[in-house]
Amino acid sequence: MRLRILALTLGLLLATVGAAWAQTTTYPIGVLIPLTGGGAAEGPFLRDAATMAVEEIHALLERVGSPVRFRLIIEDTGTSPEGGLVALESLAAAGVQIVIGPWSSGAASGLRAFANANQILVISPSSTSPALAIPDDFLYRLVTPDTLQGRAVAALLERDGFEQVLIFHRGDSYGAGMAQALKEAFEAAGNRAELLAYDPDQGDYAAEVNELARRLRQLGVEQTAVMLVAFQPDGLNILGHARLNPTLRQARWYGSKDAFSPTFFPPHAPLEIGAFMAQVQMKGFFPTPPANPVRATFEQKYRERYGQEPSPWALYMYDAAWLAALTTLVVGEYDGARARDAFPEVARLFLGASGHKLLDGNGDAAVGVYDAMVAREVDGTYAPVTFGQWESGTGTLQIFNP
Amino acid sequence: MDLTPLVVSFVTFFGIYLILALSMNLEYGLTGLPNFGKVFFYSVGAYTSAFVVSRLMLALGGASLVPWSAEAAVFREELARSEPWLAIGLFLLCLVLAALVGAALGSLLSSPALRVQDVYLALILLVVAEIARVYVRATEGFIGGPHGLGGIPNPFRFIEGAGPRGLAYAGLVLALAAGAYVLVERITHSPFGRLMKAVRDDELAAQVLGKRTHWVKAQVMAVGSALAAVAGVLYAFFTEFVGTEDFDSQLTFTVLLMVILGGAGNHRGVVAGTLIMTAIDRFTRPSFLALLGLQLPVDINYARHALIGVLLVLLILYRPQGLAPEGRVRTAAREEVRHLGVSS
Repeated sequence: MRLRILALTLGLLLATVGAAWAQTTTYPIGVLIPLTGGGAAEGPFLRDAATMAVEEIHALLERVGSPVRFRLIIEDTGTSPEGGLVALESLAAAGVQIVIGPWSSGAASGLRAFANANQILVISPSSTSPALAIPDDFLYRLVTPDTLQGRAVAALLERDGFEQVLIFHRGDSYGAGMAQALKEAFEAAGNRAELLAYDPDQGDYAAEVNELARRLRQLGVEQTAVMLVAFQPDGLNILGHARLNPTLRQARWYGSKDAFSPTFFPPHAPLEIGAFMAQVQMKGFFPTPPANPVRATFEQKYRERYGQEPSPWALYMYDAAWLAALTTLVVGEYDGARARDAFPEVARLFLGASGHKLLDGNGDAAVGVYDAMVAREVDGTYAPVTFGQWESGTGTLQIFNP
Repeated sequence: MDLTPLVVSFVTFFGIYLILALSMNLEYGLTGLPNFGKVFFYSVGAYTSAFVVSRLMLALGGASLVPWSAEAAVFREELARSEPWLAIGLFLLCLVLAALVGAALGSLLSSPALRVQDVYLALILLVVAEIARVYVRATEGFIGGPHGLGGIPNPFRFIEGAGPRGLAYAGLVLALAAGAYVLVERITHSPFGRLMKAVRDDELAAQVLGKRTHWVKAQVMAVGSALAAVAGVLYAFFTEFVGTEDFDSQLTFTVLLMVILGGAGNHRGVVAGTLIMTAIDRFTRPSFLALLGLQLPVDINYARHALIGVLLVLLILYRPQGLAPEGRVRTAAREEVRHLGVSS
């Protein structure tokens, strides 16, 4: 008798679970992030942001009784074109037609042709290379191209009274693109900009930093600003050497957007690096809109769950995950080609943690609002503090916390 | 479930890496030349493709665009779609040109280095590869500098559908890899192959017997470099993009690991080593586990690298000669042939 009851209960349980399973439709979303290579420090932030977004989407879908669910499949791009391509090929074999990522322009360049040929919608949260500003392809980018950031830094340099800038930049797609954009914007106003590139794949940059100091002395330490365009591993090494160099300690430093990511500040970076950045008052911009309720909620939840601040790129990844899910729901089926057609309209009406996502003809974010940031001592540690804002639409720089 | 992308990716990259590993085996496994600049010769093929295709297609299409711009990439893609024979012709031209350039650079760059000891040769070639990569990245006028160059059209662009097109290309790569295998096998089992082994095993003895060992090394480097350049062409036309990020020295050591795993000096072993390494890379991915319905408690993206490390340590500890140790030369030596002729 007991056995019969047990068997009946088990049967009912299995039938219930089976029915629920049969009703649920799960769509895969590919996540391409750098877990190794030059962008490895950023990967975990992006993964966590995407995971949080999908959990929120599931909570909403469950509340309204929707049978749709999403499953993230996370692949490492190795921050390289081949790594990006191989990762996307693997995702395609698993049936993925909608992808969020990759983080770097190099990986995006490697997978673009495959995405077009296989009609896979790719939503990059952070690729900014001008070489990928191509219309009618399957790659959308949620961040404005580097040309806008270059104009923002040029405006800040002029406001600070500089007529010369020495741009010390990564010799890769991102670094050269950003450096060239700043040079053009700064020189258009009659100023002078010099470029000094470094190989971003080295382990140590002592010789390059010495060369930077030598060039700065030639140009004049007082009247020349130093602009650093770097990612975290190379940037921290460079700043570590620079803080020991008497010439560079006297210089006025500016940084590209990544220099204001938490990965440059304690506890992710040595305290002395933060102290140096605060000492030289390193300034720059990050393409983040002014605080809005979505961003505030995301940042609070992220802090509660992971015990640390999200990186600025995490905001964009969070939005990319939401947009991927919303586009799928709007289309009503899992189809990369149809999702690609619907995406610009969904993005146009979307306000996320990183702001509005109106896209231009190349599928890149059209309007950028940049927070002006400076490294400062805050509560016994060091952190980036927002002191102003630059808007690409009007080209105006507003300082509200000097 | 459509496994075509996985099959295409696996076969294509297996073929490309097999050509590289066979060329490394010819140089290192059979002649004892530690070519730590293998990635340079691979990049020569990719750069040659990017340079030739970008300029020629714009010239033939009558467009005056910056070759590495986004507009030029779109122009080339559209031209290749409307003129399929042009894309095929350019692909064949690049194969021949890259092989010639690779062979010339292989013998030219290595000839001064061949007069030094193995360790110095390895360092010189490693440095050459790094300098070349940094130079190309810093020189915009070649392949767009740090941005790289896109719009290198797949020669099978005329085939409708990504799946059939990918399979056709994978088949072509596999056929060329098979051709490379036949070539290195024939070289290995020829009198020249014996000479290569003599240079590796005792160069002084070979010199005493009147053999010009420098010339042998230069010839081997030329053949190996030509093969690596062909692999670079295949890579460029597969990804349809060439950027310097893909050509760092890590790739050289990945190829070397394939040779050591399979068994230096044994081409069949190298095939097995390449197959195992490609399989580890493809089948330890979250996407593949998702295909099988598996979800691991650890992030396999990190575990994959640890697995390769463990494999290498186990190999060194328990099977330093590789999976397939070097066998005997299958063709008879001249002395044996003469002896057989006398006795018959």
